[in-house]
Amino acid sequence: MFANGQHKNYNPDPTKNKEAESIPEPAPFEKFNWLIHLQHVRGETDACKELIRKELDRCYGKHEYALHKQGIILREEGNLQESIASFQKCLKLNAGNAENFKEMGKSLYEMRRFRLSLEAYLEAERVSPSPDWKIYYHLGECLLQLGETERAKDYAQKAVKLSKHEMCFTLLVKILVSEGDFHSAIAVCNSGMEACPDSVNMLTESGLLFLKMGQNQQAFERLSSALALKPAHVKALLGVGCITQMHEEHDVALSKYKLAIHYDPDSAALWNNIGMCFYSKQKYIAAISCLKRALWVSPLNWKTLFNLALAHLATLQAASAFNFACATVNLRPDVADCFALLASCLMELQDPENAVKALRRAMELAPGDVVYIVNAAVCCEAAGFDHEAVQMLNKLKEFAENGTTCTQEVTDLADNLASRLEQKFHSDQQADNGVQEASQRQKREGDVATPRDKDAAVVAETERELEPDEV
Amino acid sequence: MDPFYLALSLFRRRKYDKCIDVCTSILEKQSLDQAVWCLKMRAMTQRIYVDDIESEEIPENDFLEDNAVATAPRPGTSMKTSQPPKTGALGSRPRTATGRPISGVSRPGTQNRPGTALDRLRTARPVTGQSARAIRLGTAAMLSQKEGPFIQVSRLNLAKYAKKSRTYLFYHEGDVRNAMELAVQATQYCDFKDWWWKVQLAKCYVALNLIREAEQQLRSVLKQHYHVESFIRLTRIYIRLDQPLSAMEICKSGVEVFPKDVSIMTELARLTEALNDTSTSVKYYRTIVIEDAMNTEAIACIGMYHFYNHQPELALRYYRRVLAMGAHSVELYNNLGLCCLYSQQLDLTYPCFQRALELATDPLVRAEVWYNLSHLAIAAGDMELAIRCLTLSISLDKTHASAYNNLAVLHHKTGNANLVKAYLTSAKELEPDLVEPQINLGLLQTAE
Repeated sequence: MFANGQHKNYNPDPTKNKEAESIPEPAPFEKFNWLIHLQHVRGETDACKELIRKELDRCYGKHEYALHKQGIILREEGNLQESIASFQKCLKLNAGNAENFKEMGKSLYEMRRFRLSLEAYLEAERVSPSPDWKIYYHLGECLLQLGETERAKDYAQKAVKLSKHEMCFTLLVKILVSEGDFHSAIAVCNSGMEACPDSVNMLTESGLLFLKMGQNQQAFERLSSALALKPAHVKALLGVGCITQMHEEHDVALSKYKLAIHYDPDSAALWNNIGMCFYSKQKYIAAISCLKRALWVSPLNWKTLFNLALAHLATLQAASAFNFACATVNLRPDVADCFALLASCLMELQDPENAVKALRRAMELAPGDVVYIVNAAVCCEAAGFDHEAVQMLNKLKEFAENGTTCTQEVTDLADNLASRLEQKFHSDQQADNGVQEASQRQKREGDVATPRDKDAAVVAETERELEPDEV
Repeated sequence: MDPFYLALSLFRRRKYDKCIDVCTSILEKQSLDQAVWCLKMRAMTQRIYVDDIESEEIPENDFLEDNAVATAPRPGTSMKTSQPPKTGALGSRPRTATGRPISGVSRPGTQNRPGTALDRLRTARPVTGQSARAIRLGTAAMLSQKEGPFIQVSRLNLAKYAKKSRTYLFYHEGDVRNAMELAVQATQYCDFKDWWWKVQLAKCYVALNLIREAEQQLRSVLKQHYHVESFIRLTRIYIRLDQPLSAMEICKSGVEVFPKDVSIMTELARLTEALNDTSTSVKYYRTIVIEDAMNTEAIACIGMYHFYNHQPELALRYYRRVLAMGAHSVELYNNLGLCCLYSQQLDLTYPCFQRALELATDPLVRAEVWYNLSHLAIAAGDMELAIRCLTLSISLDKTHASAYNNLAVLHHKTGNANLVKAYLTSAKELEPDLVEPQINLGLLQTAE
């Protein structure tokens, strides 16, 4: 810098040498910073780039702000590598500016180089004169991507403490949900809603969390207020519909789903729930066609397959139901309900031996379920394994004495069966009113396997049907 | 019996080879008999005559094709920018690699798939638009002649001869340029009043890729005389110029003149289908079926409409009708199998696909059948089998992007993570317009 330098023959008398010569003040580097920023935020990218180029020429490439803006513009245009080069130049000029590190981290994050991005943000944290929520937020995101949830949580909490931004809360909630800590997630949601009460996403998120926790009332409130702010929010509509469906107000639920399907016709969860609404209204054909649509969208969805099997059982198409049940068992061999359903289908197909096998498997997977036990007892009796049936009934009694709640239907059926077995042992003759018994059994089984509603619309991979249709 | 009478009778009974032999023997004796000469010429033409109205291949995405009127057409006014279907995965049909909706029947231009070996071979094909078949026919005819060409075309004084010889030229010799010269002379000779010659002239122009001239000829034909062929040819010309709306107008005026004419209606139905308006297209096909209950194309298209409209039972009925009419092909059995699968008739599904596999010889078609079989396995929840089917499909057709995508999804489900990304990227590279691999790649990256 040579401005304001002292003259050699400095004369303290101002009057004498007033017009001698004026040393021009050199134009400061920052002269056009305001214009660069203005043009950038106005979206006049071309003019802005031109101005930056001129400025860099004027300052021999040593203009930090121009380089910074150039990096941002390049990133916005998708030239991530070049933008990083630009930020590196900035850092050579001024290694103490946290902003440069932050922008560089952002570019690296967009290039999916999370480790490098993390390092850049850590540097920014070191350089930054005061704690900055943005740095903490991005650190949290990087760590989450790198799979270090614990550290990510720390940073997210720091970010939340420093600011009341929606994105910080969302990040923290995401981390907590991935850890399975729903209680704290709900607490975070609540404080997040205090900070930004009109955020639809936050409202929906908290509503869905409440739904997962089984607190339907709060969930309903949250989702309703989300819908009041944005009536066409598909996720919230799905949640509200799900709650009303649970309360057996099927028409209300249907109206919600119909609205939602208008905005998102490709959602398998929506079609599935619509199908189950029709199922509960005993409109089985409509139910099957809706469920098939859901299956068309996501062919590997075991819940839809399960529901389809139920619907086919209800329409007395046991063979089709068996196919769907088989598919569910293949997809999810770890769910007891699938085997129970398979057993129901097999009973309907007059194959009690295999039904017993399926139920044994179900009982292995879920040992404490009285419904499976009573069903197994009935199946054993139908297959002729009378002693095993008696064992099952004794087991049931044990459970009932230990305080497991049995529904009226279960106890009725058990009593019925016990008296039948006794009669059988007494008279040693085959009772042949088994048909009636079987039908009753089926009905109950249908109740056990209640419609499964998915409460979060996660449309995973959609698959495409392609075929050569040439004749 | 008089040999000439015999020849005529043979011609009527469509025994063209024998007729030609008889004519040759007569001509050896009396070489100046014009009637015999004419008959021989007609027989030779008839022997190899094809209805070339269907064989015209419109090159899709041809970089040398500069006939299209607008380079950046407004939506709805061009085949390339026709309105996309409204719903996503549910309502829409799969598309061909060039972005057109897949159609119910195989027609010239519906089956192109860039990147296949077939296409790479075709790069050396002439861009004149004259169908390859016409050329092949021409050479075949030349080969079959023992004593050199029957007529030395170049020596003839074209103005003297009438229309019969023109067909001979076009079909038999494959010599379009001379045929056109003859047609021009003939039109002049008739004081521009004979519509037939003008149609022939237009045909020659189309073969030489002079589309605008052909359009002029056909326009003036329609002023003079209404004929189904000229309507259809004009429609074809507009489709080549990528002006589907004008083509539609021509078709509609054609239908007014010839109400319920099957071929014009077919043209209309195809056009609306190409413009993504499936319901209207099916309406036309239905009227066609009422007029002509044996029209395979219409029945197959209606069947496919029902299939993608989630009514596989109805589709099954239509395809069974096609089967009853005597069609016996891989695609038909494949479609029957799919209909059975989606209408819960599993006992029929396996035999149908088995037949399809037995009949399939072309590896590309076999690949499609295996692809569909993978859906059968998915419906049964058998992931291992599905993966095997898809692998087979890929081994037969290395460019099957959907198969790669689905394979990736299945591997993802079975927890085989390291293969997923590779399959998805190859799917994306093979068909950059396919949405699914892109979405899946995005999902994979966010889940990482």
